[in-house]
Amino acid sequence: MKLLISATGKDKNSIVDEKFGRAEHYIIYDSKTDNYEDIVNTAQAGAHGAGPKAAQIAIDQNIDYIITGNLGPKAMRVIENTNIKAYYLKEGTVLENVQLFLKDELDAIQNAGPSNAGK
Amino acid sequence: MNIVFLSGKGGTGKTTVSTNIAYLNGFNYIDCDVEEPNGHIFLKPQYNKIIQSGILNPVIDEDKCTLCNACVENCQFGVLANTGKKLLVFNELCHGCGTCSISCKFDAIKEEKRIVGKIEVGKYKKGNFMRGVLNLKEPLAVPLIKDVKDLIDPEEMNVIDAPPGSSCTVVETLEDCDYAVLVTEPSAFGLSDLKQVVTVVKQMEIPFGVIINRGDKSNAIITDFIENEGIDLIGVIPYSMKAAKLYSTGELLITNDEFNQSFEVLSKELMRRVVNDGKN
Repeated sequence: MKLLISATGKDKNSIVDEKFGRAEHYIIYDSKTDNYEDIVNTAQAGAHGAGPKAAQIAIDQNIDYIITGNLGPKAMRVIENTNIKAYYLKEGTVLENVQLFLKDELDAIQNAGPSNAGK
Repeated sequence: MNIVFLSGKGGTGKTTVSTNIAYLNGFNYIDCDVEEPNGHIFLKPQYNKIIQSGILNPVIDEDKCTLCNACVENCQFGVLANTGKKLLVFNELCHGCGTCSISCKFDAIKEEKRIVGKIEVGKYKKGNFMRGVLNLKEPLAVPLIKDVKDLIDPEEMNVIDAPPGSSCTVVETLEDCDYAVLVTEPSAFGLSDLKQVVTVVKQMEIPFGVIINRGDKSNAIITDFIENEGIDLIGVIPYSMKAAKLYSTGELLITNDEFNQSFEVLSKELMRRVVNDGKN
C-alpha cells in the first residue's frame, strides 16, 4: 500500500501541506517497506493546471491513497477515474498523519474543494 | 498603420484617450481588451458582422488510444491526464498548440475548434469599429486577440485599445504595431506598472511615448522617471471633475469645447511622433 502526503518539507517529520497541486513536496509512504520517500512537486511550476498534473504524479507513482488538504475540481475529476482514494489531512507532521490514517482516523474526501485554492 | 494604447495599470484612461483620439482623427478603432471591451460605450458603433473565434482542442478517439502516455508527457499545460483506464481532457487549460496530436503515434487525437469568443465588426460615425469579446469563464484571451488582429488592415489608420497589464495579451496586441502610447496616471501604482510596460515595448522595439492622464500636482512621480529614462512625454490631460462626469455618462470628452481643444493639441503632438518615429 502506497500513500502520498502533500508536505512542506522533505521527510516524515515535516509539516503537511494543505495544498495539493501546489504543495512543495510529496512524501510517499510504502507500508510494505515502512519507507518514506520525498518527491519534489514538478506540477506546481505552471500558471495553470497544477491539480491534474499532480494527480498524474500520484497515478504514475502507483499510489493507493492521497492525504491532502483540498482537492480542486480538476484533480478530483482525475482521481475519480482511478482506484485512488483521497483523505483529508489533519494538522501536524507527515508521520502523524500516516499513523492517523493507519488507525482509520482520517476522513475521506468526497467532494472537490474550491479551484485555485493553492495559489 | 497601427497605434496601440496601453497602460500597465488598469483604469488609467486607455479607452478615454484612444476613443477620443480615434474619433477626432476619423481613425478605425479596434478593442483588443477582449475580457472587458468598453470602447463601444463611447463610439456607439453599429455592427454588421459577427465572427466566432475559437481554439483547437484535442478530442480523443478512445478506440484508437492505447493509453501510451506520449501526449500526457508532451503537453506543457496539464491538459491531459492518463488514469490508466481513460484519457481525460481539460479543455480550459489548452493553449491549442497541437503538440498532443503530433506526439500521438496511433492517430487517436483529432483537434476540434472550440469557440471561446466572438469578433464584432461594424462602423462608428467616423470609421470602422471592431472588438473582440471573450466568453465568460474563458481563461485564454490570446487566440481571440490574434484573430481580431488578423482582420486589421495595416494600410489604414488604426487605433488599438490594449488590455491592461503587461503579459501575453498585451504582447500579442503589440505585435506588428508601429507606435505605442503608454497612458499612465501620477500615482505609485501608475508608475510601477508603467515601468513594466516600458520594459515590454523596449524589448519589442516599438517606438513609444507617454501620456499622463488625470495630471495634478503629483505629476513629478511620472515625469522624474521618464526624464531619467529619456522617454518622450506626448502630453498631460489634467485631472478634471467635468471629464469624469462626461465619462460616466458614456460621452466622449471632445463633445466639450474645452476638452476638444486640448485633445486637438494632444492629437497633433501624437501624430507628429507617429509620423516621425513610427515604424512604418
